[in-house]
Amino acid sequence: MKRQKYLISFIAVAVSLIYSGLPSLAVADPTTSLSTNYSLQDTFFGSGSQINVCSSSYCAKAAVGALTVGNPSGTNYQLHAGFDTTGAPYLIFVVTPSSNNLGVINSSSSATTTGTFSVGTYQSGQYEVQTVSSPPSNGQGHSLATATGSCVASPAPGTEFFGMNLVANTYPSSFGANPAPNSVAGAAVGQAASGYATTNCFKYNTGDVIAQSASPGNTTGEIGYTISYIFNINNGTPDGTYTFNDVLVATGTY
Amino acid sequence: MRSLRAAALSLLLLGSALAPLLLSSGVADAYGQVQSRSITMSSAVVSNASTTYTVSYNVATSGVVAGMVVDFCSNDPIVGDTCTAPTGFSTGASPTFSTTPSTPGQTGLTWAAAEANTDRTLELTTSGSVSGSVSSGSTISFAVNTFTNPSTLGTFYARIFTFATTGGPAAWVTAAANGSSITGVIDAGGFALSTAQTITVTAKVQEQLTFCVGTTASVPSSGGTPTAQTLCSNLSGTTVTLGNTNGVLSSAGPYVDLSTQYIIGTNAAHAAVIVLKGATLTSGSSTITAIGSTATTSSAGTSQFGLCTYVGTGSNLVFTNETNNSYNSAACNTTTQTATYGSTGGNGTAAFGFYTTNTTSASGDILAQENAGGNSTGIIGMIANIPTTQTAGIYTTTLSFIATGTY
Repeated sequence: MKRQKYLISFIAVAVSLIYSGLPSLAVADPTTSLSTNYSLQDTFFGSGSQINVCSSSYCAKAAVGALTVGNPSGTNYQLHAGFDTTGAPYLIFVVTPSSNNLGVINSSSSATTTGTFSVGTYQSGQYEVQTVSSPPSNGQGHSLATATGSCVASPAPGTEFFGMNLVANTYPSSFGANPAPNSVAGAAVGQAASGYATTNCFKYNTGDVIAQSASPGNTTGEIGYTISYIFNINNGTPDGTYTFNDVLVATGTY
Repeated sequence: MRSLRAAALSLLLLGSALAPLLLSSGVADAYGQVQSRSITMSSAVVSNASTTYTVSYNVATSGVVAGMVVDFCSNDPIVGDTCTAPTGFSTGASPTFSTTPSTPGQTGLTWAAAEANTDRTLELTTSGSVSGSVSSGSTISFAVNTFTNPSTLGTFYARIFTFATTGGPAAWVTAAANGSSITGVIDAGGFALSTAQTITVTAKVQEQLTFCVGTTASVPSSGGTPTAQTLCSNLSGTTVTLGNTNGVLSSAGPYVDLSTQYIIGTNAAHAAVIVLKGATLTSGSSTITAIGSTATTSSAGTSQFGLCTYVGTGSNLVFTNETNNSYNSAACNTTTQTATYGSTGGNGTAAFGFYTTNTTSASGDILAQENAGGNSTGIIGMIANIPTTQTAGIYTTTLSFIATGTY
């Protein structure tokens, strides 16, 4: 009898040990660990947790004994740990509406202006911002010439040209700004894309990515970008009112 | 007593072990989460119609993909939540692929797109016989160009669901029109998108015409050719003297002057025309005969007055609409300076004209045309010959040059 009792106890202990080793498999949200210097999304190492614990009326995130919480980061890595991180992709994209009237421009000097937008996305998500508009046009069949390949350094007045970049410039005068976090300093990272990241060098190609998140990824902050526009005309540039409606598209990858 | 303790201990251990199973038995995530997922819009403008949405994602679960649903929501991207349609959003009543779905490793299926839930949901189904399957990590992408963006600014969301059968999407729609179903879902994932304002920049370019005519301060040397000027400030003179060092013409040969130039630039879409107005060289009732509308070479000892013109610099100056090409001698650039010097000649092989029927009319005679573009400089060569019987006198004329742009 005593042996049977011990046997029952042993079996119970054995079963409990087996099951206590497997809970993460039953409750973990299916995830994929990414490579290229690694990235984890919605992966929980611990015990007793579930992203969506639902009844017929409500859902909740449940956590029992999270092993690590917080936002440890280094030069080459960043980690959001803890069960209270958001599980939903989000994208914040705000373009400051503006109507910049340069007035009458001439072939003897460059005309410049700026526009701004900000982007924020889900913790380790990536984003790209494209400009999808055609170059400035007078509505009568003429569009200003642009550089669609490499950017043009210090484009001279008297040579027809339209271009932009997303950095601070000193030519033809001081205008524009480098990308900078909108919220907590250092909480978000982003950069002007290749071709649009060189001071005093301008280009424009419809469909180009002009800004993007930086590796290892954006955090819960927003990056503010300043677009610097430059207009040059020559004596032969057809007359008219040249309008450029800069339509920007932000795409998040999760 | 001991047996009760042992039993209680066993039950306690068993219960604690089973607790995780109990906690996890709510809404089990029976689908894989697609990775590297994105939806790129061709425009972020509010209410923009015929917008192309390009969907791309990496498959989580290996297998046949025979159906997909993309559900667009204003509230959140969470799979399993109810979905509220974004205001003003539409998949289009008849969604059309601009790029059909790519399914690496899987062939044989033809994809079709349709709307569901009153244009909130994109439903992709297939027909045909499938061969192969899509491996985990493979990228599936497609584009549909019939979307209308939401009419509100800001973030909206989408959720994608994949199915192993072509009937999967319809069953999903039937199971819950509010989008909360996960019936038959193989893989799923959420997206965030955003409409945004635009930045508008306006610049005005005026109609432009730059035109000046005059004589250079530095007359070409004897037998020399002029240097084309590019600045109007260098064309400050207004007089031309045809003749020798004393301004006297000779029956032995012509005198040619090359000191007159004109500079013109315009953005006129239909070019700018330069017309010449004035009479021939006149002294009282006597004249030196205008050469006429037909360009003619120099003839020493005859009464001739005329001019020709050629391009000094620039690429937009043309002479295609002159009357009989009166002034457009191809050899005008063979002329050399002799006026105000001792020797006659300088006519080279050029031909000259002067059509007084037009030059003395209200509209003048067309000399040259400048097309839109950078500035050009034209050089004018004037010539005079006289017979031995030419009446003595001081012969003069005033020539006017008028530029008119057509925009």
